[in-house]
Amino acid sequence: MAFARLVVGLCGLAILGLSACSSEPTAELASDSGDWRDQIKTLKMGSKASEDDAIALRRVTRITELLEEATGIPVKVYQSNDYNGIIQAISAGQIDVSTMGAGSYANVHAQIGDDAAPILVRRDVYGASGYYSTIVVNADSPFQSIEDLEGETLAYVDFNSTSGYIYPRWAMREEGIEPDTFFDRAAMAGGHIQSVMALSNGQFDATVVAANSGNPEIGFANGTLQRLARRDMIDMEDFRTIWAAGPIPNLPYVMRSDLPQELQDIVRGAIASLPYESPEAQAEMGRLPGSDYRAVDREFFDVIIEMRDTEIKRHRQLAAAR
Amino acid sequence: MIKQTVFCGIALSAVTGADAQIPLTDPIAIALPLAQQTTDAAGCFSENELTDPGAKAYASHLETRFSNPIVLCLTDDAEGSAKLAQNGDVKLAWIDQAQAAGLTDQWRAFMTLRAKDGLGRPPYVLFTGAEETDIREVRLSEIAFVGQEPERSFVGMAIDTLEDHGFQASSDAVGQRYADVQSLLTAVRSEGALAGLLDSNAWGRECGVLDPSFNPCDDLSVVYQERPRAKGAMIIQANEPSELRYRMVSIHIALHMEAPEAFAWINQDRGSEFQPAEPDALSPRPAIWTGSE
Repeated sequence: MAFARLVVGLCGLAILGLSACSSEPTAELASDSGDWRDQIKTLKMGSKASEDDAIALRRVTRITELLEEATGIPVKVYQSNDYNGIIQAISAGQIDVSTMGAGSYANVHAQIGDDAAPILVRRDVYGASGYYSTIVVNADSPFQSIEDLEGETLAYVDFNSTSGYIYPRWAMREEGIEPDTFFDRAAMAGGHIQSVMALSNGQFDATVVAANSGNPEIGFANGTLQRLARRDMIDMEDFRTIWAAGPIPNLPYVMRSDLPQELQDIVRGAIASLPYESPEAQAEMGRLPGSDYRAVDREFFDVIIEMRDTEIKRHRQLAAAR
Repeated sequence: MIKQTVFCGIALSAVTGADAQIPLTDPIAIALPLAQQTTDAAGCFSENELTDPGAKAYASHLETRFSNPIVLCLTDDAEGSAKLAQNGDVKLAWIDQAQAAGLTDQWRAFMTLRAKDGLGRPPYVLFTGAEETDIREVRLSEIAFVGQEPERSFVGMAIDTLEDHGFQASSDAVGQRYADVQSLLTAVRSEGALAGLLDSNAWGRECGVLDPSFNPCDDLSVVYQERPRAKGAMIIQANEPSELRYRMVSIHIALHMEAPEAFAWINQDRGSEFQPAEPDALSPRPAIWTGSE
C-alpha cells in the first residue's frame, strides 16, 4: 500500500505538474554565439513558500529582486504547494531554478540525471551545511526517548521529504530500529506544518519535523516548531524534542544545467554574494547572521540519492512480498 | 486540483538591472601577485603565452567560462598588482590589506579565500552591559569570550576584529573565557565582564534576531557587528556592472571542485576555497580603543 502511494506520488503528480504550465520550453540550449539574453527572456523560479509564511515569502521576494537585478531579465515565480510540484516542474524543464530538499533533488536526479544540478547550499558560521530531522512529542506526553515510541503512532511529512521521511528512516535503521514494524501506525501528514497540527490534535503520538540553525548540543534557533511559533500557531512549550538525526545536507538551489553557462554563473554568483553584499537581507530572510552559501555538486548529495534508492527498493520488495 | 499543481506565477518586481549586462569584447586582465610561484616571469600573458601549467589551467578555465580572452598579469607582490589596478591596466586584482587604503574609492573587494581550517569570516558582535561602560577604556582581560568548541576556534578571529579597531592584543591577557554563551551573557549583565564578544550566529540564536517582535538582548549595547578585515582579496572597479563580479564569484567558489589544478595554482595552499566578500572587506576600520593592557 505504501509503495502504491509512493508510485502515485511520483508519477500521478508529474502529469498534473506537466499539464499545469504552458508547453513553452524553459530554456534553449546554451550557445557560444551571441548574448544569452537573446535566448532567455524570463527566468522561471520555483517556490514552495506558503502564503501565510511571511519569512518564506520575503525570501522569495528578495531572491526574485536580486536575480532580476543581476540578470537584467524578469523572474517569474511558479508556486507549488507540495514537493512533487517543484520536482516535476524542474524535471520537465518548466522551471529553471528552485530550492528543494535534498530528497527532492535525489528524485530530480533519478528522473533527469545531470540535466539539473545542485549549485549552492547554505552554510552556517561554523562551516556546517546541514540540518536535522527531529522527533517531537506533546510536552505532557510520557515519551522521553524514541525507544518509548515502540507500538505508538508516528506522523511522517511526505514521501519526498528528506528530513520528514527519507533521512529519519535511514537513521532509525542505523540505530537498530526498523521503522516499518517499530511503530503501530505511521502515515504521511502532508507537510511539516500539518504534521505538527496532527500531533497537537492527538492524531499521532509523535511526529518528525525539521530543525536547523544549531545542533542537538546547542539547540536549534529555527525549524518547523519555531516557524509555527513565530506565526502564533503553537506555543513552543507545548512540545518536546526527544530524538534528532543529522546533519542532513541542506536544501540546495537546483538549476537546469542546459541553461546558458553565463546565466548559471550569474545566478549562482548573485545568490552566493547576497550574505556579504546585503547582510540586512539575511535577517529578513530568516537566516542567522554570518551564514552564507557554498558551492556544491551532485557528489554532495550522493548519500541522500543512495538513501532514496534504498527506500524505493525496500518498498518494491515489500510490495512484491505481498 | 490547483493545490497539487504548479501554476504560472507572478513577476514580483520590475526589472531594475539594465546596467547588469556587460559587453565582453576586450580581454579580461587580472593582476595576481604570483610571478614568484610560476615558471612565467612577471608580466602580462594570454593563455597561449603562459607556460606554467597551473597558470595556464586557470586562464584556460576562465576563457572557457567567459568565452572571452583572459590575460593574467603576474606581479612579484600585491603592491605590484595594486599599481596595475591603480593605473587602470587590469579589470581585477588580488591585493593585500596594506594596499587597500589607496584604492578604496574606486575599487571594492568582492572575493577572498576561506581559511584552510574551513572557517570563513563570520561577523562578530562586541557588546557591553552597563550603559556607563566606556568601551575605549576596556582591557582585553575584561572582555568575555566563549571558551568551548565550536566557539573556541573563533577566538583568534574575534581578537582580529578588536585589533582592526586599534586594540592592542599583544599582551599575555587572553580575555575571560566562559563555558557557554548563556554564562557569558550573565557575566556581562552582572558586570563580571565589562564587554562580551560573540560570533554572530551565537548572538543571533541567543538574542532572537529572527523574531523582530522580541529582543531578549535589548539591555545590551552593541559596539560593532562586523567581519574581521580580510588579509587579502580580489578587487574590482566599484562602477563595474555586477555581471562580471557575479560570474567571477560563481566560477571561483566552485574552482576547487571544477578545476582543481587551477585552484591549486591560484590558492598556493593558502585557503580551502574561495568565498565572496563584502565591498569594504579590506578597508581600515575606525580606531575606537584608547586604553592599553
